Amino acid sequence: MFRSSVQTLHLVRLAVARATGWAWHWTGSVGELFFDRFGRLSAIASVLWASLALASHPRSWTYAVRNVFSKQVLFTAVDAIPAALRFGGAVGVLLIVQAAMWIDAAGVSTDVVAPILWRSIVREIAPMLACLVVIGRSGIAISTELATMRANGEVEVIDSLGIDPMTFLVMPRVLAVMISVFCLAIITAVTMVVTGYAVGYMMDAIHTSWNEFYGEIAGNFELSDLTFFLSKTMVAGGFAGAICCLEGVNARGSMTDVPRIASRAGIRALTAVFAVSAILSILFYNKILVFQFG
Amino acid sequence: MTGNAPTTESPPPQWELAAPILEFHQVSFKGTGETSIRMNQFTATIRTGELVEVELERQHNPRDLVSMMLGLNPPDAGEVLYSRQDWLGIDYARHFQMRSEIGRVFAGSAWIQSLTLRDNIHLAMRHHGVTETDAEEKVEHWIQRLSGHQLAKVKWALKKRPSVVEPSVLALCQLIRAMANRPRLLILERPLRFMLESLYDNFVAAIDDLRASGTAVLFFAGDRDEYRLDFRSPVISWRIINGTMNTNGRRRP
Repeated sequence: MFRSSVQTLHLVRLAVARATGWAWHWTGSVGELFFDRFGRLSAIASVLWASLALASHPRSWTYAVRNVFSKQVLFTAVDAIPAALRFGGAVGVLLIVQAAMWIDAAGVSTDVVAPILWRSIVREIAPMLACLVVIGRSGIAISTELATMRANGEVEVIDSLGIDPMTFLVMPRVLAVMISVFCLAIITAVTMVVTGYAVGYMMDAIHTSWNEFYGEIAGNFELSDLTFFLSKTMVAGGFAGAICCLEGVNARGSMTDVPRIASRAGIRALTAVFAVSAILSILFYNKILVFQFG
Repeated sequence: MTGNAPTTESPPPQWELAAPILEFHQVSFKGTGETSIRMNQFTATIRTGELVEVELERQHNPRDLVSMMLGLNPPDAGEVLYSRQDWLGIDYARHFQMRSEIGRVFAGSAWIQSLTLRDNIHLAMRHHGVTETDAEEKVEHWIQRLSGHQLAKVKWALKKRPSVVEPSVLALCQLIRAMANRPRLLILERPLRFMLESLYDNFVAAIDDLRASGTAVLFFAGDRDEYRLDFRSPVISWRIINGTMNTNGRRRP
């Protein structure tokens, strides 16, 4: 009897010890994850803040930095215009087909659908598409370039020459990505509207003239749309640029690690863009999808 | 140069009165690899116009040691001063300004591969406010000075990216970059590894001229077993004993 009680007690103690160990392990893992995420987020915020602070000093804009910035804008914005036009055109057609279906199904007129279309283009779709184009074309290229430079010892060379890698490598790239996302989002939005109207008109889905259609859009344009568009493209672009640069300059290991770093940078930048867009939407409109807070 | 040995009573020679450029105070450094050069409680000073030669063995790689001297990596213990200023703290603008006064020839990777050699050479000067015309003039001066019969090759190479240029021309271009802006301190890591022997005299004359104008030179040598460089005296020698830097050296006969 006594022996069985001792055995039971021993089993209970074992079970308690195992449960406690598991609980500690789980708590530790959660804490580790939290600190890892928090550390990463604060690093991104630091890079963004430092880039903006450096960009605000005229002294930072030396010939070499201006050169890097202009080349990056050329590559990220100007060279990406054809891609933005293609994507904008394709999504514009998709949208107008959907709109035509709504018009037919709900029996509403263009003046009801046009503002909805315009708002969804300006507030969500165009900034997101521009981010996708920039991350796909340039973000991954930036992280690849910086990771390669790091692996080759080029960052050390720049440092040794008395050039701040943050000013020379990171700041112009982050800024170029921000500006590029903004510009490409405008181009994408315009392309979507124009292509959508043209295709819809040809398919007989839109029965109004261009002037009426345009007037409908212009009449529904609000200052908040511009504020939202500007902040969304700049913030999302800034996050995308900062993440791609950070992943590149933080690269460890050899050249064989560069592809892995580049793909990771792309995925993280995309995740951040979606998250930032969602958070900004909530902050601006106090809404998430159709659910009203407060 | 002041070494580990205690100071003597007799008045120091004239060249020891010059201003200190690079000072090591009880510096310990392990480095990151097996080929790294170590320091153990190392104390020494390099002054204006001095030439300190460090004989390397084949396996030695001075890269991370030099990076430590430039404040890119911290030493394990002790203090490194450049022009009586340390590399500590977060006054990064001062650190970068200090580094801009130092010319460095790298052992290994030395170029930004996405730029042409001309842009690479001009990069630091343009970044630190030298106008394009002045930079052109300075670079042209050192090209004429150092290139000898390689002149045409160097001029051709300036339009190319580093990956397509042969090592002997790259070695010359590294020297041109390091010397072009009249550095206060010149650190040379195996500068002669790929250089043609016929250009050694140009190299020696250029180094001596820089020293005469006050540049301190730290020369990590070890690629010219059969060739003696006749630098203007005095030439101070530091040695590497069991992978550790030591000031009690003498020049190889």
